[in-house]
Amino acid sequence: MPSPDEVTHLLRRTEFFAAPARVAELAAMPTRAAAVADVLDVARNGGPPPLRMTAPDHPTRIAEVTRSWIDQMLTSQRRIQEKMALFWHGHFVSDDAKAGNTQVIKQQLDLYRAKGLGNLRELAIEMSTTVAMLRYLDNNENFAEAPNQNFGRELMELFLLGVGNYTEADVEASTAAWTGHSVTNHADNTGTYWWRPDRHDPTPMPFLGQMTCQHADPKRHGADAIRTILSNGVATAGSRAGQPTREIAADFISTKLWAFFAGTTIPSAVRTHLRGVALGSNFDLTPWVRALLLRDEFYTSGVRRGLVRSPVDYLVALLATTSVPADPAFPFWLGEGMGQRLLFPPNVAGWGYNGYYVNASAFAQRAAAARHVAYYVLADYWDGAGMRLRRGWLTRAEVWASGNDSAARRGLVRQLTELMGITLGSTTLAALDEFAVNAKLDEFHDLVELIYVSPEMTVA
Amino acid sequence: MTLEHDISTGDALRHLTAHPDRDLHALDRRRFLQLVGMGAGAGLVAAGPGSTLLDVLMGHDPSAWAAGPIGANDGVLVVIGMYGGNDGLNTVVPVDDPAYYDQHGNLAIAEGDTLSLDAGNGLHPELTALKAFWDRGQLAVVHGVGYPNDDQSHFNSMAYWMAGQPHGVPSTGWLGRWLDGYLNGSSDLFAAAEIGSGVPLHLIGTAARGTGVPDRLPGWGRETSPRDVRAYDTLRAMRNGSQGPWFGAVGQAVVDTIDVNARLAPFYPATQNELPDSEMERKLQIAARLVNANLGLRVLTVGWGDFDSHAGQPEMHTARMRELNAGISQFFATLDPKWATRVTLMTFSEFGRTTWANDGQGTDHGSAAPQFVFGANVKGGMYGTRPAFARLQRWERMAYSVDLRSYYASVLDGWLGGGSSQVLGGTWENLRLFAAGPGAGGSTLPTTPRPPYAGSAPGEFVPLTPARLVDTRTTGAPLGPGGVLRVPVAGQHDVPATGVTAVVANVTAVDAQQAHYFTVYPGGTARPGTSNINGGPGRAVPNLVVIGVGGDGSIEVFNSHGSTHCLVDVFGYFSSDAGAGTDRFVALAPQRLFDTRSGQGVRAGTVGHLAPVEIDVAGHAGVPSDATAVVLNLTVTEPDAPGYLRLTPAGQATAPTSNVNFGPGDTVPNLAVVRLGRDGRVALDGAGHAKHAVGDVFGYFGGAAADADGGLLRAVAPRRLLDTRDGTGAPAARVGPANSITVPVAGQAGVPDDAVAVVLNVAATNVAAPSFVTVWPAGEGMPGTSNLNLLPGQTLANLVICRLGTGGAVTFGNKRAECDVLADVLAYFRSG
Repeated sequence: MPSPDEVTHLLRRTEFFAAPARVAELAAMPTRAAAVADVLDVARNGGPPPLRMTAPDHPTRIAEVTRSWIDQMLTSQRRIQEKMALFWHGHFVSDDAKAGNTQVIKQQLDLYRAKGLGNLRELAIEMSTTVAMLRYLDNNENFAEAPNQNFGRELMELFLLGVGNYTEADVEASTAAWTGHSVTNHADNTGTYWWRPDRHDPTPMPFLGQMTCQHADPKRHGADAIRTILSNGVATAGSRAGQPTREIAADFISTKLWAFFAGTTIPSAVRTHLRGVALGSNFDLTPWVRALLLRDEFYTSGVRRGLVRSPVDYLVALLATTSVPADPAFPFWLGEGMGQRLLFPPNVAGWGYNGYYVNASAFAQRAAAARHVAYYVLADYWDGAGMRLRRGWLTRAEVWASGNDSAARRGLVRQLTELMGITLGSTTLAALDEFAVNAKLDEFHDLVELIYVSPEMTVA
Repeated sequence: MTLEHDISTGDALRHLTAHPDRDLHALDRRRFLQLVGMGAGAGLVAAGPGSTLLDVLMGHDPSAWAAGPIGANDGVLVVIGMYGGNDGLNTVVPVDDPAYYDQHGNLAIAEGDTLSLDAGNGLHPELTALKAFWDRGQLAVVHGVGYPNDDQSHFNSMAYWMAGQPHGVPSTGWLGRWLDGYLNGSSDLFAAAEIGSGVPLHLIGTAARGTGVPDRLPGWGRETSPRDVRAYDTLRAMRNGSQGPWFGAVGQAVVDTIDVNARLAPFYPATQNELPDSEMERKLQIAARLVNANLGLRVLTVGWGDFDSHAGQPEMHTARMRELNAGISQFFATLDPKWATRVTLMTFSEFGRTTWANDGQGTDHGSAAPQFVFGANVKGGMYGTRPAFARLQRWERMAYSVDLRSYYASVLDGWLGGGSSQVLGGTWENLRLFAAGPGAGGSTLPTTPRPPYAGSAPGEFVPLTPARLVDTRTTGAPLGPGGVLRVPVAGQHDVPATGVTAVVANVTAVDAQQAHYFTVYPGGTARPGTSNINGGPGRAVPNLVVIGVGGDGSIEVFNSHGSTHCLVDVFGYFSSDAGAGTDRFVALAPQRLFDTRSGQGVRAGTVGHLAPVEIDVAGHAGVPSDATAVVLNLTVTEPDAPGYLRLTPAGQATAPTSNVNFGPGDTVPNLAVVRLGRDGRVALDGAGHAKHAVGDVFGYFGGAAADADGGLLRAVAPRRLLDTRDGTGAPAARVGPANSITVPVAGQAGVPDDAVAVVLNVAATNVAAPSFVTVWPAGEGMPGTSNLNLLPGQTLANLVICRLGTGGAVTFGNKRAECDVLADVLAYFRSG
């Protein structure tokens, strides 16, 4: 049976937080493999409901869609889908700004949520013609007579292969293959995919050792370039020149997935193993991620507690200790200051991890975000039912009943963490005990915020 | 190129701030693209909160130095980044080049609208502050700065400029590499800083990196209420859990946030709306505040955009120029003038813009452009060569004449102490942009220098009932770093308004936030290079001063570092109005008067809380029965809790003053000059728990013997008489059990040959073991008294009034262990 520690680690990385009930559920399974299978069993979820967007104006839509997604991260039956969608949002990057209308980016995000654990190749093909991506990387202006290389280049450089494995000629070929995939713009800035065969350049060109534009249906030429990368293409430059691009692509994505879930540099044994799985399944993502989550390396002490929660991960973990919904408790406007704002990746390279988020000003913003969540936790504390925690209420009367009794105060700390559904290490508990014992009764509730900025909440 | 030229500059900029989690592999372009927005926590390379370069280097004790934590000749550089590509042609307008008017079309600025620099060049009309620098000969315009094979990607070009290396994939920046050399392995949170968020590439070195300092009020960490302090302490305690590799780092980042903010909070205003709203004014005001704060910052960087004027250039560029000008003005309005000759500012941008305007009322990415270097010690003028561009076609770009590495080398070698070939690789031409090095003469912003203190008329002593002249804790405003507190003396309490030549005051540093020193000196005069109190966090540090009073009847207290409160208690004064009630001084052979440990001179047993014990003075230890005041070194020993000791004339109500402050276990001496009360006695009491006290007599005032041949005091401009660390006044060698040192005083440091006694502030440092320093007249046997009680690692000062012995000299000794000794002369006694 998997140990509670293992299960907690697995859940923190795949489901944003380790709800005690989930920990019990998975720890009761016969094997680690069974636990991982349960995490990945998204079929049980049906399709995730689309993100909610009802507001008429753009700024409210952004807030609404953002909070709707956070809600899903908190409440979905299979939160791994939301986690994977977050991964793709930071990998096949588009943003609301260039999307023009939140409807457009929402369409892309709903795609990542529904199919983020499907097949990489199919996902890459489908995302290429989302209006969000066509606008973000300017492929909507990539025409035979005036090619725009932005998407054609990033497809290889940032999305599938990594820089240096291809030549400028390959970039031109990729670009040409993708000409004509454009967008009809509507008055409200939404758009509709518009295939323009008259603007497409169907000239076959050498591309990663193959030829582009072979298919009779020119609309397939762009997708076929992706297929080539993930099947019979060959690297034409760099240290791996001559090697199959499907292997390079598998390694490229495996490295990124490992960084996302494990937070360290991928060990070469893991990379090799995952390559085999990816190629063996022809780039199906579920077996790929399953294999990653089953590796012993994933459970080593260097990996556990070794990933700084991204701002989104962090806020979701905080909200999971409460019974307050994302609206109003999720402070999306603090995202940029913390280093991650949903719907607005900073650039086509997405977000970093670990040290990327660790600096004084970003942490000051995290503290502000924690304070915001704590505010809602305490909204009913003074005059109402108590602190609004996930597993119940901690009332003011209970706090006052502790009087000057140190043991009672310490007991309250434990009750607080119990109601939040979290466990804290001995050093943090000792520090909180010290605070609890010495605090004035009407300052006792500061503990909520202090818990929120503890290392245990900051690191997954 | 990988990304469109028109990737927003914000995005490109975010690419170029450090990602400290970088791999050890060679940085590939993918990882380079991930060098985004967020930098290392301010303290991930710090030795600990409050540590400065000086704390870490051996032998540097800021308390005994007159200058700040950086040397008087260490230059400060402020770097202003213009992000997006500044149109150089509209910044320094080539008014004599018809090609400019031709190609820049309706973007061109008419000659009549520019601020004329010379026949061929005029500044953008908004740059009035830079024009003022030009007119003073303090603005260097460096034309045509660029690099070979110019790149038009914001991304790549900004990386090259920040790296100081126009090729390859950089992982460090030029100022970061300079910082590597400057810090040389030690850590310092406050050597280089970016005011803004994140730490941009140019401040990232191989080992060292700059600190990100907020351009808003530092929030978290600046609160001082007990509730907040409890919360911060809890966060500090959490940092030590070790559950995984990033655990400690995030805990430390939280603590560093608090510490950096707390340390910086005193230098920011109290409320956000006291800071300018506009970004560059705010950032440059903060920069000036941080320079004034004297934290040790050598490099401050700021930057802003958007300069990427592909369209709508006239409004956009004019706004940027206005912001630049306002920021510069704000900087110099805030900068303390004494820093003027130590600060230089420079600009940079990732490229200029095209000579040809485009169809959208804008310009596109260019290449070479002029940059500015300005400040009091800059040698104003034109440098480099203005590019000729008459033949350029659309999209073609101007040639550069000054490689950016030469631009940087000129600043590194001319202002930051050198090292350009290490930082930049290779030898690059030094354009010689400076008229003088930092701190040297130079033309300055106008200031009226203060005259040095000329010394006082001879004065006789009048002891007073002790009274508190100032307590900054009640006024609420502590002394900041470099701060000066003016303390009116004449006319206060029982001090007369006229005739006061010098004052005897006990000065105490309380609630110091970091190690520091006070210099006390006559009001309105030039601050001398001496010190009177060496203080630090955790205890109140008192010292007696006998100091001349300025022409305005005041004394001034200068604080070197950090933030601290100050108390000043007056015990007496010297007056040139001879007459009834004034007394002369007689110095005695130092002698122990009382010791509560042994019952000598006082009842045996500890001095309790606020329970006075009376001590016979008149008629003892050489003090005649008709003396009016005694000079007594009071030492507290073996206290078991913090508190203070207080001497009051017997029979009078205890005054709200103190003489010696201590913490548990401290042995602390302080000189006191106390009027004798009923029966020639003084009363000793104090707050805090039981403690022992020892008193040694050094002299007295008043009485027949004093009238006959006692001395009058003359205060002098304080001057360093002795420093065994560097051989001032005696050979450079520690004082220790094997060697006392005898130092001539008469005829030195403003003391005349016929002086009979001297008032010295004596400090000891580099103490090898628990011990004490004794000062006595040369030629006599070493007495059983002590003036300074020392622990290893301490720096402690005490006032000493000592009779001059054989040869007009005094001797310093330490019976138990070695230490370095410093002595500053404050005044002397002479008959008549």
